[in-house]
Amino acid sequence: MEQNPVLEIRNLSRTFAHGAVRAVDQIDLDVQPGEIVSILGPSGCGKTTTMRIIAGLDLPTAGEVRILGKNVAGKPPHQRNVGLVFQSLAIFPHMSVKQNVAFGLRMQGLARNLIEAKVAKALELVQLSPEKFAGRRPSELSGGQLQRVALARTLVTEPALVLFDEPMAALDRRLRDYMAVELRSIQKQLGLAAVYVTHDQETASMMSDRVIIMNAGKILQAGTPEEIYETPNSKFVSDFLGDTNTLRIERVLEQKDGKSLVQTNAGVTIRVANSGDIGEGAFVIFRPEQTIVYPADPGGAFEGEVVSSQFRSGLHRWQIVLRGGNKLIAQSTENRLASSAGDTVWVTIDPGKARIVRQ
Amino acid sequence: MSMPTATGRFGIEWQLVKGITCMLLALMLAPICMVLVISFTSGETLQFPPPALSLRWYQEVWTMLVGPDAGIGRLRESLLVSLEIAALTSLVCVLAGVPTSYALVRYRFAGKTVIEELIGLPVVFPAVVLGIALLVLVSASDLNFGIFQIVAAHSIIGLPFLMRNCMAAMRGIDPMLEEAAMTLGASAPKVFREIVLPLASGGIGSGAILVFILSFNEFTLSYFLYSVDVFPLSIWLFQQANTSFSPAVFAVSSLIVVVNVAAVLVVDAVIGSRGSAA
Amino acid sequence: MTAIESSITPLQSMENDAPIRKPQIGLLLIPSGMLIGLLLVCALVVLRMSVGERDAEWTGWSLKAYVQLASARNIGIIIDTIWMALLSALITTLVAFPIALFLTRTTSTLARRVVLIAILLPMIISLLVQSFGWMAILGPNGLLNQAISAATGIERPLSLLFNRTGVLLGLVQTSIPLAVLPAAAALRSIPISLEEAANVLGANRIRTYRHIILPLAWPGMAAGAILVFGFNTGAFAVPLLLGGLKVTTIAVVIRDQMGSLSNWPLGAALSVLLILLALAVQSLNRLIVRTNAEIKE
Repeated sequence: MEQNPVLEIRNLSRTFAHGAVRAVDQIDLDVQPGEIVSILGPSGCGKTTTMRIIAGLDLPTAGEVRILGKNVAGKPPHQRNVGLVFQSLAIFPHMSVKQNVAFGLRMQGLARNLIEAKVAKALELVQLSPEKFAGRRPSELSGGQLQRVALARTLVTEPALVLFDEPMAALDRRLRDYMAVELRSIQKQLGLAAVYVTHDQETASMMSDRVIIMNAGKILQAGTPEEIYETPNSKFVSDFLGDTNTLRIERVLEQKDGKSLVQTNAGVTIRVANSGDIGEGAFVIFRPEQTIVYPADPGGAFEGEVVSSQFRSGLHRWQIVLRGGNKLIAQSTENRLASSAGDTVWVTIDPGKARIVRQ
Repeated sequence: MSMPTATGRFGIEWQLVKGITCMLLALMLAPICMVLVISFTSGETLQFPPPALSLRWYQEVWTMLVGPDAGIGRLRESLLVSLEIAALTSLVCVLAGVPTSYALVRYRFAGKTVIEELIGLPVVFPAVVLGIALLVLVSASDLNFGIFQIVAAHSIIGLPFLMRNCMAAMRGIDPMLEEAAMTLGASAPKVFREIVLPLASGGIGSGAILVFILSFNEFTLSYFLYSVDVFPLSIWLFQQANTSFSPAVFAVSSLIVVVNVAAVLVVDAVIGSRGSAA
Repeated sequence: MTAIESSITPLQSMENDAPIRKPQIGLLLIPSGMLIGLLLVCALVVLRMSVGERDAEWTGWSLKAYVQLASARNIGIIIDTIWMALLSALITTLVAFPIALFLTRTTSTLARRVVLIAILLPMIISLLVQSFGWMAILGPNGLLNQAISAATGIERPLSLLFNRTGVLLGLVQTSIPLAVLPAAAALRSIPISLEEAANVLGANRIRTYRHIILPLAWPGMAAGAILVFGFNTGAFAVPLLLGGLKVTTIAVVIRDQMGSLSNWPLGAALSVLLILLALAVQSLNRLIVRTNAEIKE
C-alpha cells in the first residue's frame, strides 16, 4: 500500500525586499515516511529559509506546505508537530539536561511520571546515561554531548517530521562522521521522516536516502546520493559534490544510442556516457578517479605535464596541465607512475563515466 | 583583556592619577562619612569629633520605630510608606517596562525609534516640572490617589532605568532559543515565561533594585506630591532638617546609607557576574 | 496603534511581502505607553497653563507670562541658573577626568568596582542625608570653621554653606557619575598603542596628553559635560537644601510662582523653558554621540 508523504511542498516561494530577492523560488519537495532527505547547497541558496518555512518560523510568499496531508498555512510553529535541531543547538542554558529534554513534553502537558520515563528513554537512545547526565548543566557538556541533548530534546516529542539545520557544523570531521552514522541508525530505528539541511556533501551523502541540490532558491537536481554523484546534470552540481574536471566542448561529432562523441578544446575527441541537446558552451565533466594516467602514450590519450603530485589517505593524486592549457586532476589507488613534477604523461577518461552537461 | 603596559601606569604620573582620584573620592564621600561618624556620638549635639562613641541614638531611633510613642514622631509611618512606594514603583516599572523592552529588542516596527526616544525622555525631563504638573492634575481631578500619585511619578522616572537593564539582558538572549522553544510546542506566552523571563531575570532584578533605590531616596517629586497621609521618609528628613536637629536624625540617615550601599552591592554583583559571563 | 501593527515584521526576516503573523506589539507597548503618556500630558498641561491668564489658566489665553519671563529679575535668575549649571558642568568634567583615567588604567577589578560604587553613592543616596553631612562639615559650627577658628582665632571665618559655593559643591558632587562614565568609555577606546607610538616618537607625557589623549577623549567628556549641564539646569533639591534662601534657580522660582505667589502662567512658562532646555541638551548630546560614532567608523 502506498503511504502518504509526511511532507509535501508545492510551488513554494519566499521573496524579500518586495520581490527583488527570491530566496526560495517555486520549489517542490516530498518526504516519505522513514526517509531522510538532505537539502544541499552553498550558504544563501535558500535551504535554511525553506526549512524555517516548514517549521513555521518564517512564512512563504507563495505556495503550500502540507504535513501529514494537512495544509499548515497559518499554523504557528508550536502547532505543527515538526521538530527542529538547530545549528547552534539552542540548548536552554538555564535548564539542566533533564529539563531541556523534558521541555517539549511539559508543553504537551504530560503527567510528571510519564515525562520522567520518556526523558530517561530519550537520553538512553542518544547514549547519554540518564543517571550521569540528567542533572548536569549545559555548560558542563562537550560539543558532542550537547548535540545528543539537542537530538534527544527534539526526538522525545515524537514529531511527525524532524528538521536538522546543520547541527554538526561545529564538530570536527571525525566526530561529525561518527555522529552522522549514529544519527542515521537512530533514524532507521525510529522510522523517522527527516529533512537535513547542510552545505557539507559528505555528511549529506552519508545520512540521506535522497539529496536535493539547491542554488539561488531553485532545486537543481534531486536523487539518491549515488545518482547525483554519478550523473550530475550540471557543472554546478558536479562541482558541489566533489572535485570535477571540466573540458569545454567545441563540436559534437556524433550522438547515437544515448552516447556521444565530442571534440573538446583540449584537442582530443572523447566518448561520453550520455547525449542530448546541449547547445552552446557545453562541457564534458568527469571525476579525478575516472581517469587513467600512463607514462607512455596508449593512443587516443591527452598529453600533458605533471605539475604536482600528492599521496593522501591511500590515494595518489596528480595535477596535470594538458597541451591545450587545460588543467585536470587525476587520482588512483595505485601509484601508476613514479612521475614527479615536469614529467610528461598521457591521460585517458573512462568513457562510461564522462558526461556532457550544459553550461 | 589586553596586556597591561607601562604607558601611564607607572611613575609619577600614575601616582598623581591615583592620588587625585583618592582625594576626590574622599571629598565626594565626606558628607556621608560625617553622617555615619556623628550618628555614633554620645553627646547631644552634632559636634565633631564626637566626645565619645555610643549607640544611644540608635537606641533612640529604635524607640522611635517600635516604642509605644512610635505614632507621634511619624518615623515608622514614613519609613513604611517609603518602602511601600519604592516596592510598588519597582513593580509598576517591571510590569510596564519588561514587555516594552521585549518588543523593542525583538521586533522591528514603524515608529520604533520614536518610542525609544520617548522612553529616554524621563531621564532629562525636569523633575520639578513633572512634580508640579502632576500636582496640578491631581488637584484638578478632585480625587484622592493616596500613595499612587507618588508611585506614578516615581514610575515615570524609574522606567528608563529599568528598561536599560532589562533590554541589555534581553539583547543577550539568542533568538534561536525562543525559536527552539516554539518548535518544541511552546506558545508565545509560554516562550516568554519559560525562556525570556528566566534568562533576563538578572537584568530585570538589578533594574528593579535600582528603581527601588531611586524611589526610596527621591526628594523632588515627593516634595510636591506628599500629603498628610502619605509622608515619605525623604520628606520626614526634610522636616527634621528644618525643625529639631538631633543626632537621631543622623542615625536614621546612617541606616539609609547602609541600606543603599547594600542595594548597590547587590546590583553590582548581578551586573558584574553578567559582565564576566559575556 | 494600527499603523504600528500593520508594519510589524519578525526580526530575522527583514522586509516581507507576505501576510505575516503579527505578534501583539501594541499590547506590549501599552503599559509603558501609559507612563510616558502621563509625562506627555504633564508637558501639555504646563504648555497650556503658560499661555493662560492668571486665575484662568484653563480658559483664558494670554502671552503675558512669556513677557514676564523677559523681566530683568527673571532674566537674571535664568542666566544665574544656566551659569551655575555651566560652572558645575565644567568643574565636574575636570574632576571626572582623573577618576576616568584611573578607571581605565587600573588593572585591579576590585579597585575599579570600589571607585564606581564610590562615585555612584553621592548620586544615589538621599540628598537630605548628604546635606546633613555638608552642614556638619561646612556649616557655621562645622568641622572646617572649627579648624580655621582654632588656628586663627576668628569666629565663624568662612561661610560656605547656604550660598552659591555650597550649591555648586552639591551640584558637582551629585552629578559626578554622569561625567565620569562617558569620559571613561571614551578613554577606554583609545588604543594604548597610540600612546606608545607617541612616546616612541619622542613626545613627552604632557604632549601625549595634549595631542593624543585629550583630542580623542574630548567627545566623551563633552557628552558628559552636556549631561551634567542638562541635569543641573533643572536643579531643585540641591539649591533648596544647600542654598538656604539665598540661591534661586529656575526650578525654585517655578515652585514659588506655582505655590505661594500663585502666578501659575509664569511658573508654567518657566517650566516650558526648562523642558526646552532639557530637549536641547538631549539633542546636542545625541549629535555628539552620533558624530563621534561616525568618526570611529
